[in-house]
Formats: sequence, C-alpha cells, structure tokens
Amino acid sequence: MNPLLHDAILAALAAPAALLVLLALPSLWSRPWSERQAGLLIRAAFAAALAALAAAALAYAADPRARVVLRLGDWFSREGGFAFDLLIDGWSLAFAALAVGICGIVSSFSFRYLHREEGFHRYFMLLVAFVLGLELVALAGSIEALFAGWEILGLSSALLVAFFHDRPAPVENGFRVLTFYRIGDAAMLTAAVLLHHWAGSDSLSLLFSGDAGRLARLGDGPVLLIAVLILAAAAAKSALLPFSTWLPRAMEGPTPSSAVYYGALSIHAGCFLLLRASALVRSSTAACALTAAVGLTTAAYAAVVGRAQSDVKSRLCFASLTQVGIIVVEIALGWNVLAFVHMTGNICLRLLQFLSAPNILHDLRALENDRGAGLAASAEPPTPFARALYLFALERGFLDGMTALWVERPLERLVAGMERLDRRLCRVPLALVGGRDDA
Amino acid sequence: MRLLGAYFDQGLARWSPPGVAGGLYACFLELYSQPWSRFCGRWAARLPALIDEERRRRSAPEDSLRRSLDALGVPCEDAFEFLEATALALRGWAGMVRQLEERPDRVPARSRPAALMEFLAVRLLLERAALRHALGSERAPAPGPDARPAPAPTPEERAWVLFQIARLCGLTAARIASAPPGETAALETELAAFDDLARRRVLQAAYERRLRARLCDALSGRRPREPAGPPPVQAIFCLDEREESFRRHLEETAPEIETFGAAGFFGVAMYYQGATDVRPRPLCPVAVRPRHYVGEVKADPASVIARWRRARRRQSGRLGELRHRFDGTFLGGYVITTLAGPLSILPLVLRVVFPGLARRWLRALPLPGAPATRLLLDRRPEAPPAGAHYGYTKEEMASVVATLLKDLGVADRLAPVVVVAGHGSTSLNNPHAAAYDCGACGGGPGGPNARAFAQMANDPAVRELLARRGLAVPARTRFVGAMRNTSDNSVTFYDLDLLPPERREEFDRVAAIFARARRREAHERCRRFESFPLGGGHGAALAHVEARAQDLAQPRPELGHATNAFCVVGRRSRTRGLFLDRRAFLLSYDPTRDADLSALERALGAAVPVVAGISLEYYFSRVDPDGYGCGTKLPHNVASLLGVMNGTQSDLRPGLPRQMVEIHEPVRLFLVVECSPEDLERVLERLPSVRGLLDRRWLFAAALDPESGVLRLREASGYREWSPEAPVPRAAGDSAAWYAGRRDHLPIAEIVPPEGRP
Repeated sequence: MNPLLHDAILAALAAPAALLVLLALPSLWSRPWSERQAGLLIRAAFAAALAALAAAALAYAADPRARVVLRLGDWFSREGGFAFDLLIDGWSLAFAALAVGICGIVSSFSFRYLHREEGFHRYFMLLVAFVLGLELVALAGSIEALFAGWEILGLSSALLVAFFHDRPAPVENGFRVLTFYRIGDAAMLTAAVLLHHWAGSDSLSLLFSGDAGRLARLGDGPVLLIAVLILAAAAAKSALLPFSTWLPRAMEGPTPSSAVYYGALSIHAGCFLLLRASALVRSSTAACALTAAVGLTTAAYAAVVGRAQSDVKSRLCFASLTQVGIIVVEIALGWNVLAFVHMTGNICLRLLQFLSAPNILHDLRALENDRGAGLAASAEPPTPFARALYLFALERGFLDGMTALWVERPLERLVAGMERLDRRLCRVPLALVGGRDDA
Repeated sequence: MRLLGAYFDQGLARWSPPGVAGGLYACFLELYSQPWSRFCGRWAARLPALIDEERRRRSAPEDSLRRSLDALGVPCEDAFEFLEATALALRGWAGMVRQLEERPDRVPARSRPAALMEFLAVRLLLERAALRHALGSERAPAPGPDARPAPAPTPEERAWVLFQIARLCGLTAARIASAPPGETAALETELAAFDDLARRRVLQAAYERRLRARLCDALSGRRPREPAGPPPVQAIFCLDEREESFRRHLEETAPEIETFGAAGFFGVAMYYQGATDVRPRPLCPVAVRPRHYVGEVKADPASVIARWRRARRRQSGRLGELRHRFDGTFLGGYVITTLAGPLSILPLVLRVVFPGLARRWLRALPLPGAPATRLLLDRRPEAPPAGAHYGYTKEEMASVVATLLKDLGVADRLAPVVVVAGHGSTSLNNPHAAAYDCGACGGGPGGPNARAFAQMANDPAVRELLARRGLAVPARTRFVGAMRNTSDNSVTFYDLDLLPPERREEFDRVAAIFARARRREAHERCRRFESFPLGGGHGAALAHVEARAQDLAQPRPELGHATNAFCVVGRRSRTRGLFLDRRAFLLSYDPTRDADLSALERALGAAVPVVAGISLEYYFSRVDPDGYGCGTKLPHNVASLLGVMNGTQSDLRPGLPRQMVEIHEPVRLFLVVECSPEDLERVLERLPSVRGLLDRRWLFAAALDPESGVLRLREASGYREWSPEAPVPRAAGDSAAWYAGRRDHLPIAEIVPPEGRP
C-alpha cells in the first residue's frame, strides 16, 4: 500500500467531512459563520479535496496496482464483520474527482447566487454532505461504505428538493423523491445482504471485480437476482423507467442545486453503480438484456416526452434523462470507457445548461438574431398517432397518474384495511379488561 | 397548466399540440377526449366521457361555459363572481391569456389565438370532471359554515390589554381606582375599534408621512439653484429615478452642465428593429400602440468586416440552432454530449469560477468592433413589418422635436451640445431583464429612441420646418443620442462618426465629463451592495458593477427601481443640489413657459401612469411577495418563454422577485408638481385617470408654487400649506460626503458645493 495514496485519499474524504462539522457547529449555538467566512472555509475545503484527489491520482498512476483496497477498519468483527473499505482504481478516482470538481464549480456559483438568501448555510451544508456521499459512493470498497454514501446522497438530495420548505409543493415533491430513493435503497440493501449471505464479507470486491470463477460458483439464479436488485437501485437513483416520474418533480430547489443533482451528478450515480457492477451484470445474459431494455425504453420515453415540454427545466431534465438511458445501454453492452466519457460529457453539458437556464430568453434571442430568422416553428408530432403521442408526451407518459391509480391507491387501501384490522384486534383485549373503545 | 404552457409556447418545445389553430378550447377537446386522458390522475377518471359529451355537441366555448355554470349549479347572479374566482385561482396564466388576447402586437414570437373565455371554459370542464369523480355529481357542494367566531376574551385577557395601556400611559393603580365609572369601558371600546387593520393603517400612514415630510422640508421655500453660467452642454435623460444620481453626479462633476428629465421614449413611439434583430419590438409606453416603424441598417453592409461578422454570426447561429433543436433528442443528444459535452467544462469553469478572467480575455481578443449603423428614419413608401408607416415624414419629426423641446422649456436656450440619453440594462441569467429596462419604453432599452430623436433634431430639413414654426435651433447646436446602461454604468454615444470633425474635440470633453460621472455614480450605487466593501474606491466600484452585469450567478445585477418614493415635476433648479438618494422620478417642466397648461397635461398624462405603475408594482411586490410578487428568484423556471414559474410546476408568477424589492420601502408615490394648486386641478380635470389615482389615494400630490416656493399638499378637503418641520441636513462638497460609509436609506440632504463654486 502506497502511503501517499493512503493519506491523499483520507484527506480527500476528510476535507468535506471536516467542513460539514465546521459549518454545522457554530449554527448549533445560533452563531453561524458570516457568508464571507463560510465562503472561505468552503473554498479551502474544496481546494484541499481536489488537491488530495490529484495527488492520489498521481500516486496511483505511478504505481497502478489495480484495485487497491484501503481498509479503514473492521468494525463489529465478532458478529461477522462490518468492513469499511475503500477501493481505489481509475474509475473511482475519476468519478470522485469529477464529483468534487463539479460541486466546487457549483458552490462557487452559489456563493453569489444565494447571497442574502435565508437558508444559505443549510444549502451549503447539504451540498457538502452531498459531496461526501458521492465520494463515498465513488470510492466504496465494501457494501457498508457504499450504503453509507448512498444514504447521505439520497437524504441530502431530498432535503434540497424541499429547500423552500415554506411552500407546500417543494416539501411534497421532496417527500416523493425520498420515497423513490427508499425503493432504491431497499433494493440495494437486499442485494448487499444476499451477497453477504452467499459470498462472504469481501462482497463488494466480488461485485466490482467480477471474478468469473467465483461468480460462476454462485449460480445463475442468485447472480440474476442480485443484478436485478442492483439495477433497481440504480434505476431509482437515475430515474430510469418506471421510476422516472420523480425527476421533473425534483426541480424545486434553487437553480444550482437542481443543476448539480438532477442535471448532473446525482442522476448519474445510478449509472456509476452499474458501471462498477458491470462485470456482475454482464455475467448474466438475462440481466444484461434487462438492463439494456430499461436503458433503451427510458431513453425513448424521455426523448418523446421531452419534445412536448415547454419549460426550460423540464426540457433539460428530459434531455439529460435521454442520455442517461443511452449510457445505461452502453454499460449493458460493456462499453465502459465510452459510457464514462459519455457520462462526463452529459454531466458537464447539462450543468452548464442548467446554470444558465434562466438565461434562455437572452440566449434564444441572440440565437435568432444570429441566424437571421426566427426559430424553426415547432411542428405537430408525426401522424397517424399525433394526438395520442402528443398527449402521452405532454402528460409525461401518464406515469404520475398511473402511479397514483395503481400504486398509491392500492397501498392506501391496504394501509387503511390494516388499520381497521388493527383496531378490531385491539378491541378484543380491551373488551377483556373492560376498557372503553374511544376510537 | 401544462397544456397552457405548451399551447402558448414561444419556441421551447419541439412539438406543438395538434390543432392549435382552432384555439385553446378546441385544442383541449381534441387532446383530452382521447380515452387515455383518464390516466392523467385520479381525478380524471370521468374526464374523457365528459369531454366527449361536449365534443359531440360541437358547441362554442361560450355555450360550454354556460352549460358548465348550469351543471355546477351556479346561479345567474353569482356567475360573475364565480368566474372571477375561477380566473384568479390561476391569476398568472389568466392575466397572461388576457394580455395575449388584447395585445397580440406585444407577443414575442408566435401568436396563437387567445381568449380568456376559452381558458375559463376549459377550467370549468376540468372542475366538473373532478367533481363528478369525487362526488358522483357535478353540483358544487354548498360551502360549509364559516369558521366559528372567536371566543369572547376572558377577563384576564381583557385586563392584560388595559394593564399594558396603563403601563404605557403611566396610570397608577390609585388613578384607575378613582376613575369615573364609564372611563374604563370607554377605553376598552376604543381599543376594540382600533384593531389590527386600523393599527396597521395608521402605521403605514405614519411611515409614508415621514418620507413625504423630508421631501416637503427640502423643497418648500428652497432657493433654486441654477447651473454656473450659460450651459455649454445640456443633457436630457429619462425621468427614471436611477437617473437622479447620474444627473447629480454630472452636475457635481461639471457645475456648468444643465440636465433635464423626460419620459424616456422622448416622444418617439416606434416599432424598432436593430440591424441584427429578427423582429421588431415596440419601444414606447405600454399604453401606446406605435404607428411608426424604424429599422437600423449597417452603414456599409458590403465591407469586409461586416461580411465577415455576418458570416460568423450565421455560423454560430446555425450551430446554436442545431444544439437547441437536437440536444434533447436521442441521436442528436448523443452526438452533442459525447463530443461537445466534455469540452463544456471549459466555459463552465471560466464563466462560473473566473468570470472576470473570461471577460478580460474576450476583451483582449483582437476582434473588430461592431460596424457603424444608421437608423432609417425617413418615410419610405413600402409597407412596414409592423405599425402603419415605415419611418417618419419630416413634418412628423418636426412635431416630435418641437413638442419635447417645448415641454422641457429648453426650446429657446439650446446649448451647443445636447446629449439625449436613453437607458437600458444588461444582465445575465435574468428572466426579469425587462423590469430593469426603461419603463417608458415598455420594458425595452431607450437608446434607439434617444438616437432617433437626436437624428431628427439634427436633420436640416427638420430644423427648417421648426424655424418656420417659430422654434429656431441654433446652427451650432448638435444633438447626440446616447444610451446609459444602468447596470454596468457604461455610456454609449451614437452616430459619432457623423459628428463634424471640427466639433470632435468639443465632444470629447463632454464624453470625459460623462466618464467621470459614471465612475462616481457607480461608487454611489455600490454602497447598496453588501458584496462591495464600503471603503472601496471609484475604480473598484466601476469594476464591481461591470462584473455584476456579466455574472451568470448574480441574481441582483442592479437594484432596479427599488426605493422609489417621489416624483417631482418641475424645473431642475428646484431639485438641483439635493441628494435625493435615487428615490425621485424627475420630470422637467417649466411652468413659466406653459400658459395654456398643455405641456403639463402631456407631462402628467404620459409620465404619471408609468411612474405610478412602477411605484405600485414595487409596493405590492414588497408587501405581498407571494401574491403579487414572485417570491425569491432562485427556484424560478422559465415557462414557454413567456413567464416564470416556481420550480416544477406552478402558476405563472406576476410581479417582481424578492431580490429586486428587498430594500424597497413600500410607500405610495408622492407627486410634487411645480404649479399653482388651481392649475394642477385644472389639468387633473382633463386627466381623469391620474385624478382617479389621486382620489383613490394610490398616490399623493402637492403643488409647489413656481414663484414663492411654497408647498401645498393636496388633501381630500383641499390644499394645505406645508410648514417646515425639521431643518434639512447639509453636506459640504459632493454627494460622497453625505453617503460615504453608509449602506441604509439616507435622508434627503442639501449638498453644498465647496467654496469658489456657485
């Protein structure tokens, strides 16, 4: 183990963690940092994390022993073990650097954008937590580390969607995002437990390394099951079908947070997970086909729906989702390098577009003037299904309505039924002790 | 809502709804009569059936509206109220539909048939479908009983209020005990009458009075201050209150200069199309429908530079259009993101992290400047793209020039150089850009109007006509059009290449004065920006405002009209030398040259609706940021290129964002007119709309006596003479002596020029 690499990675993780604590502490005594102080702290921490990652990349490049595992301790070892491992390779370093860099750009944007805004500190704390989560996801070498990062990511996302918590819509939409994330979390946790159960403690390295021999020993069924669970986790995080409905709803936070989460990084976290687990996915043909199918339908769905959206942010988020779908297909086909380049491109482009989204009036006018003609007129969708196709696109594939009809309503009925049952059951012992039934 | 956005979209979506030509209602029926519209949500289960019924009837939206009202069980006499409530439930969109219906000439790009009637018909159909689903019938449920009346206060609660009063008034227990029997009861009744609303009304009145009193004190009986000697330069600005500080600094920099304020379209109401613009836009107050069209063309379209620039622009336009059209598509987006995507990290870092660096690099590039252009002002026979006439006849030009010069009272004492300066504002990432531009130009930049006016006034043929009308413009007088940028504080002069070479040097001196004034004014503006240190210098201030105007991440490129509170119509000598803290709209009007009051009528008629509109827009956006304003800017989402919504989906937001009004003091405008009360009343008789604003107390007015300088407040019972209350603070030197080191609102002060200067 290269000591420089070890220290650099630790520093890259410690910087956002320390920043989070530093930012939060004075607020506990109701004496938050001034905007200027907070700005300095955040700049310093981002610079430190970036420098540390650069150093780590150099150290890794000098001695590229693939898959360096860095052990941060073995907890509860008597009960079978919780390992907090980090796994360093080209992918993880590249994704971590991308995440920190992008968040650094966004925080630099946000200093000015959120100036004098209520919740300035809350915003930056959530952003820093987000970076920490992303770094953990990128560098995770064990299910435990991955899951911790995954959770921080999800929670900070949902809280940022609900950033303007004085209005009902953001809170409701934030809650919806959280719900969808929880589905993904559950899938991920199940996958982790199953892997643990079937393969032992260094499960993630198995998941990520795709040791063909050991995978074969697991058998086709378990591999398919785990792959499907991982796909579900990724789908929930990356808003792939059938979970796409939360994505447009997540545009409630301040513009830069929408940019970094849903245009850029957060939506690609699922792709990254698939990328890491691509060996496992590819070891099962069925899983591969399923992944490709999900990616392809998502891309087609988003491309169709995006054509009828008439507000900037929805338009952008569906444009982004189209590419996310294609990236998933690329991963299913095993073109990992292409997928990563594509991912980087999508992240940077969408971020830029999101950050300058309020500028659209200005941009389009300049564009028209440059062309010397108005924008090409929008056309009706191609016949013969024009009406149906348009309605489908306008209503975003009816996903919201169908979720409400076929998921929420049965769930509500189920819960209501259980409550009734509960009361009826409770009445029996109450009657026995002679109590009154107030309900 | 989503359908509305798609229907009125001005160019964001690639698909348009099928059947847009038939109107909103038909389009809605067409789309939602499909069986799958039931999947729109739980409420929509009965929607297709209902719409199918309507569709089979083939009725007009009016009939459908009537039927909906019947079905909902709204009695005839409540129909109006009910429809109003329906419209107000989505007031942003309802207002936008109305606006699109009434003024199709102001629609940015594509006009689609708009009618409030159809909007309401659609809303009611949706409501019926939801009710049908929820209740099984369409009858609106009877409103539940109103909330129960508040419980009567307990004796303790009643005593607590009295206890506080007693403490405030210093009443002792003995005094209360010995009070006459009815007194406590009377006190309590009085307190009950002075409820929350009444209390707030009194506080608001006091708040407004305090500000008014400062202006009254400053103006009443003040000795007029004139420029030092006959002015070599006169400058005409917009009456905008942001020009107040610029004019003040101009006068401080060069005491011999004389400035005027006029409505910022300078009488030139036109559809204007710049040399590179695709379509014309109206530049005049919103209430005016221009008749003339004016285009701008390159002076030398065949030159190498002009051709090169055009080719470059076409190229980038083509690329940009491809990107705009295809980045959401399957394959197009794929190519764009994989090839161009990773490269976009460069502009990202440059524009966001190092905005200053990017600007400096761009400036250092050896690109040729924009080539000279000309306005096509003269009447041409062909039909214009907009409006009734292509250009102005010489007669019309002469009228425009004569009217403005006479109204300002400057017609017979023109200086050798007269600068006519419109104003506009540049900013990035700002859907509210129009709110920073010139209000008298309908939210457009006033530069072209100023330029057109100057060109008219320089035209020898026009001058000849003017001379025949008895308005002799001295041969030496040269008008120069200019555009002042209220955001980055730049001043651009137009048509300098047409300036006679022998006048060049004279003009350079004028430009130097403007350059000094703009630095000083930038410094004064910066005192309001928390991100600029109070001790900063003039150069740093200018750099700061320039950076703001170019910064993607800046939600406050400038503070707009925030803090506006006064409007003074009268000679500049009445206000010259007063530090009005960018709070006063200043309109020049000379009562001594206006025997028939026609100038005053024009002044008030054109300016008051504009300034009252601005003042009330700020007032309501400040006091009710969620209802009339649009809340904070940060989650805004541009919808259909028409307006903004909050986040994912909401009604269009009216009004101004919090970032524009947070330092505004919500007061109603105080209008001071330099004329006798009788004259003011006479003019108000002719202007019922202004009078209505005054009588309903949306603004206050006072008359400033042209001779004695006595100020009389207009009140419901008549005019009341103002007796000064407090001495006006004085500051020696220049404005900086008064504002330096202070960020908050400042009282009006008399700036006393240093010794040796008049």
